[in-house]
Amino acid sequence: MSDPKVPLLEFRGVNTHYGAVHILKDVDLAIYPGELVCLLGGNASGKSTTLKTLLGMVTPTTGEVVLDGEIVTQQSTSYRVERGVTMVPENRRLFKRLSVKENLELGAYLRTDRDGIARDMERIFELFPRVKERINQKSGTLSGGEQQMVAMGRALMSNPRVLLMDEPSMGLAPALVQANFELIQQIHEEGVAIFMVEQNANMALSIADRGWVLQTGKVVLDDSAEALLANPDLRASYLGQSAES
Amino acid sequence: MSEPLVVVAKDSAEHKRWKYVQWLYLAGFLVLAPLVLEPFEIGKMNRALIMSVAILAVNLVVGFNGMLALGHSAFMGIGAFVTASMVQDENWDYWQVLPVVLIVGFIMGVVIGLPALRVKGLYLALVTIAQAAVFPTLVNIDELGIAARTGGPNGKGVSEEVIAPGYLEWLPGVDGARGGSAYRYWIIILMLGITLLVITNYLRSRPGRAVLAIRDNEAGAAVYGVNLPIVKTMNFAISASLGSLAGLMWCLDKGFVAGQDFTFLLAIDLIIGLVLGGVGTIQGSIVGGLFVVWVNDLTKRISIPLGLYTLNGDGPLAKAIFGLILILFTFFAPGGIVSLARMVQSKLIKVVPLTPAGDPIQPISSFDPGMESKRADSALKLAIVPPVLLAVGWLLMNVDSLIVGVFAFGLRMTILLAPVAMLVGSNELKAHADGNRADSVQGTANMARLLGAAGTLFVIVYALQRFVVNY
Repeated sequence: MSDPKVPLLEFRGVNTHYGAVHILKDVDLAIYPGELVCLLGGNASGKSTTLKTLLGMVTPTTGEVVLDGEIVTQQSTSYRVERGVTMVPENRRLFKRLSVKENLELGAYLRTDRDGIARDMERIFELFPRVKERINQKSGTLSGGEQQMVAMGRALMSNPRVLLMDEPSMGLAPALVQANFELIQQIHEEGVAIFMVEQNANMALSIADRGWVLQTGKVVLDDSAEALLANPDLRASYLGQSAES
Repeated sequence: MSEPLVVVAKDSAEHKRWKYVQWLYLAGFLVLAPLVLEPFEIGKMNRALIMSVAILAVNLVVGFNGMLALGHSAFMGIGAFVTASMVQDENWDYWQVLPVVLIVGFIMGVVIGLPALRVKGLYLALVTIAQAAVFPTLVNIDELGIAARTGGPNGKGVSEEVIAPGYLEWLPGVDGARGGSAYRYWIIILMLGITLLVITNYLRSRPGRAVLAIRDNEAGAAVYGVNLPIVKTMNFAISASLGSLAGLMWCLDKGFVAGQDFTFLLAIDLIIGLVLGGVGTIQGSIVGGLFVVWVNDLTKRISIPLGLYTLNGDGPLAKAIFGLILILFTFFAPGGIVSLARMVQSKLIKVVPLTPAGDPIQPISSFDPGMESKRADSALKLAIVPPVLLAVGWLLMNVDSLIVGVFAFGLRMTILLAPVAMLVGSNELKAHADGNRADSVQGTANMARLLGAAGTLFVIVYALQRFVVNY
């Protein structure tokens, strides 16, 4: 177990550019072991770029990405995945023509400990009994909710210490969104740190420990979830409620 | 026939029996082919199976990895020229050249794949088209001894004949006048079999899974640590290696290679075979190879008197008819022949998957005991209609030799459906014995089984007779 006082994943003054466009501006973030934190922000605020930079799909122009004390700014995605970061991508992105089992196995692509993989597979079956029922089905034929379970299960198969989630409730039926957040909480209770990017600020903050608000590439708010929920500015702009109500 | 004729549980003894029958069909067809075919037809078969290997190579990149690469004719050419040169100039055996060809193909795949796979989609298609277009001119370069090795514009013949050694003469049909092509057929079948085994296992392995994951979702694969450039390049190199193997087989079969054999037209044939067979399926590659060669040949023989003539004796409308067939196929079998076959098969046999606990997801038999079943009737139709077609065709053939088509169609339908009728008949009888069918089914099912067996027997006798006529 890593030291709870050392951040698992950290941004130190990160700036990123797409060509001439300045996306992230001097962003500092820190995710500590076992935390559930969320990043809020409107469209084009740099949420997805933050995730891509954390995973190494985008290289920052200046600043550093630190993974468990090690500077990984120049390291590849697979290097970071091997050290315990992974992501549940936006819209789940299952391998649709492969079976559920094959999807889960691909989550453990970089692992070689067969016993551990089998154990984690069992753990995922306990977490999501539905996944076990569908194990031999082509994942493209599953319902949206089931696909979300497979996507989360697949991410857990890499045995991550930090799980990044890109808009987990996007594209799900309203009834499933609540269930989905319960699943996220359940995974969090297993000791996995979760970094969630979400538009549904109300729901996300209700289960998160801390939150950041990103606006045009800058962190404008950084506080505990309760404080953010109570923040009148945030309520006005993201929670769909007027400050007075 | 909206209801499938047979419903079986996945991996049950019955399901295994059906699978077994399918494989027996395919194996029987491939094993019997050289015995009942004319020598020139065996030659066509050889060419078709070589195309199948090449199409499998293209499929590995296009169908299984989702990259649009069109230049595999060049890899075939490389394999063929390396083989011709080593066998003719250095007196190597074909078997000795095999590993060399595989390695050379692999290296060429890495060399071309590394820069080419940095570009995507249509751009990759363009780069590989360039590769296919430039290859035939490269073999003519009169520097560095290239033209001497490849024979330049004249092509290169291999004087060593591929004939069966003494200890293999027990193989049917490898001696005598037709010996050469039949013996090469056996070699090609063996190589194809090994290739299929290796590629199936490759696709099930860890790197193979990564290849499939990249096809389904590149970003998703990267998130779980799949190293995209390495996996793509390795897969491309394996595909190139396989393409070169097809080139070796080409040289082994024809004994002559020339630059103009490996032009962009060949690359287009590979793509046609890939799309019509079924993109992303192993069976599709084999079917595609057979289709490209046989249908091309068939269209050349169709001659419609329109006052058009070609110098080489082909039917003047060959290309137009071939094009028409392609268009029809894209309309009526958009997923390729394999998906069409799967659709037809689903009308005959339905496989019900099991839950992890081992229970079928839905009931195997939707019939209450004593309820009417139409399946035996359908089976009886399957047993009767094709042989009737066969008989009518035979009569018509004696009236006018032009109407061979009906006979041939009836024959193929009988080959295909008689065993199905037989199996469905016995299946229904078994269901009756278990108390799942009304007594009235018994007679029909018995008849279906009997006629199906008779049809199967006829097919076997027919094959034997062709065999005797040929030898």
